[in-house]
Amino acid sequence: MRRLNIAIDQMAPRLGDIATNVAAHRKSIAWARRQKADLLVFPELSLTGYMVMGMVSHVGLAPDDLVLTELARSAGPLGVILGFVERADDGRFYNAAAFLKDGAVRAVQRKMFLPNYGMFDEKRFFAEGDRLAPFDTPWGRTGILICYDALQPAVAYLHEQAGAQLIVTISASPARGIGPEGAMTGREIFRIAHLAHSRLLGLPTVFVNRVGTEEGSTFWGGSQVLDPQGETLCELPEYEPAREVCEIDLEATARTHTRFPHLKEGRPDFILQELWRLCMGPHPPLSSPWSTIP
Amino acid sequence: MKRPVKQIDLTVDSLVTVGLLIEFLCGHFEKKGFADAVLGVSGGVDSAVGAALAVEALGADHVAGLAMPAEESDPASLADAEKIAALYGFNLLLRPVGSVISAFFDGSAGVGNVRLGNAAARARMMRLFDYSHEHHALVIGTSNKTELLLGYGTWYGDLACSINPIGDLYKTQIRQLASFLGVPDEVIEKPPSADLWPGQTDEGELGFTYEEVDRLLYLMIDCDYSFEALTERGFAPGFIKRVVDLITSSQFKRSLPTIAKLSAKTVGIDLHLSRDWGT
Repeated sequence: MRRLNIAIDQMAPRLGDIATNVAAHRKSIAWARRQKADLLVFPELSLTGYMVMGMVSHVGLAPDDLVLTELARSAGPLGVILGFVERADDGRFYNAAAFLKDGAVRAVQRKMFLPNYGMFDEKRFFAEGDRLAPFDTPWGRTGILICYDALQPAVAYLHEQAGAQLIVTISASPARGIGPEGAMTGREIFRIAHLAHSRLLGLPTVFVNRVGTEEGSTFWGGSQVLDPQGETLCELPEYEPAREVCEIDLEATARTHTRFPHLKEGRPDFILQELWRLCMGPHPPLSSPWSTIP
Repeated sequence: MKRPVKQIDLTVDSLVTVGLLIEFLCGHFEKKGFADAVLGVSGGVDSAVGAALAVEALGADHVAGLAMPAEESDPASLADAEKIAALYGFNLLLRPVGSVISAFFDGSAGVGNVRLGNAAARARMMRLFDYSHEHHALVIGTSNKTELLLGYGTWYGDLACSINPIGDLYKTQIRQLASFLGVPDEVIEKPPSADLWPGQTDEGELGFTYEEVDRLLYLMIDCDYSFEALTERGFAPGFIKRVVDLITSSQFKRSLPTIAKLSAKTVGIDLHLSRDWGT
């Protein structure tokens, strides 16, 4: 049986203090290696904290920065997904995730959808990612969603159609909308999205949400690993730091797909045609949109 | 045509809310390097809830309550404050502000209730922040969401604090939490009052009850109902307008003072720095 031992760590980063956060990452990496984990996942902006606001330039790191490569070295064969502020060559800053393995940064996924409403102000400080880039790993192609990306239904679908076998969502979701009998809209929306990714795409999904408080907001944790049928493999408590390792049966995906072959029937060409119609005008080329491109 | 009507339900899950607020307080005190808290305890339900939360988060030995009656305050309020302190086991210190206020006005004639009330609130603020400095204790504020929205508080008086765990809860929700936290019924049920002159009540001064205005504020602020939608829900236009006026005219109390923009980066305008930076 092909298995992935996945470790999740819902920590509370210290805002703007990379040195302290690196130390916490190192500690967790050492723990995950002792647990014989294959992959360790940290929350969104785990190296910096969430409310970086106008201080992005003080905490932005190029993907080849020593901070990241040294963390990668300490991880060795362990795969690590963490959140950081990416300083791009052109001077833009991105809310991004790095995948570290075998001593180097192997992939970077920038956040595609930046929330800019209500309490969120990310577009002011970050540039939007423009490329969804699932990457290959020993346990299959992996797609990363950063927080609000998970609430845009198209993004997980795009990862799936690009061949992702594992969807990893990292987030810094604050508790909000507390109502009667345990209701909390912030949690409900992510639970629905996470379950939908697992059930509709038939893929194992990982959701790692930070804890702690910043600027009056309390992040609710409640990280989860789901199997391709939406069954919970592991769930961390809410509002407190916690970490755990669990096993994902990678063969379960193929078994699920024999019963519900979403990938095969996803029809990206049709979706593209409809998007073409929405974005480009009323007369889409019906068979192949590419034919109109000279 | 069937038109489902959204029920106005201000209930919050008490266990979840109290858990979150304790986590919020613990996290904040740890970040800022404080172990102790101080708060004004009036004998009313808001400060009782604030004190109960502080005791849960920090331990009774790390919470000091200041009872700060003015000349005209009802002695029954102090008795309630003592009851609350005994119930939650924190130390209550009596620090009257009456002499401060009379020395301040020094026999001036014609000082009205509003000036007296503001002076009392600011004298209490001075006491709290002086205690804060002397004992390295953070000042916990206990203005609730209803008061904050209506501007029913004194700027740099009772609105001043380091941290406020209950400012996103309407008065009716505070009563619900109070009951969960074991605040005595007589404290929960007595008419809310700033206790500035005999017989004063918040609801008497405002001209509506907290229950009515909380339902209106919830639909207006939290659910973004329009004026028309609110009148359809049965709220009187005059009542809605009054509340809108109170909210808009008190926005300054919820903001830093306006600073004239001159430079490239201005405090309060475009200096986007989290107050939690480095913690």
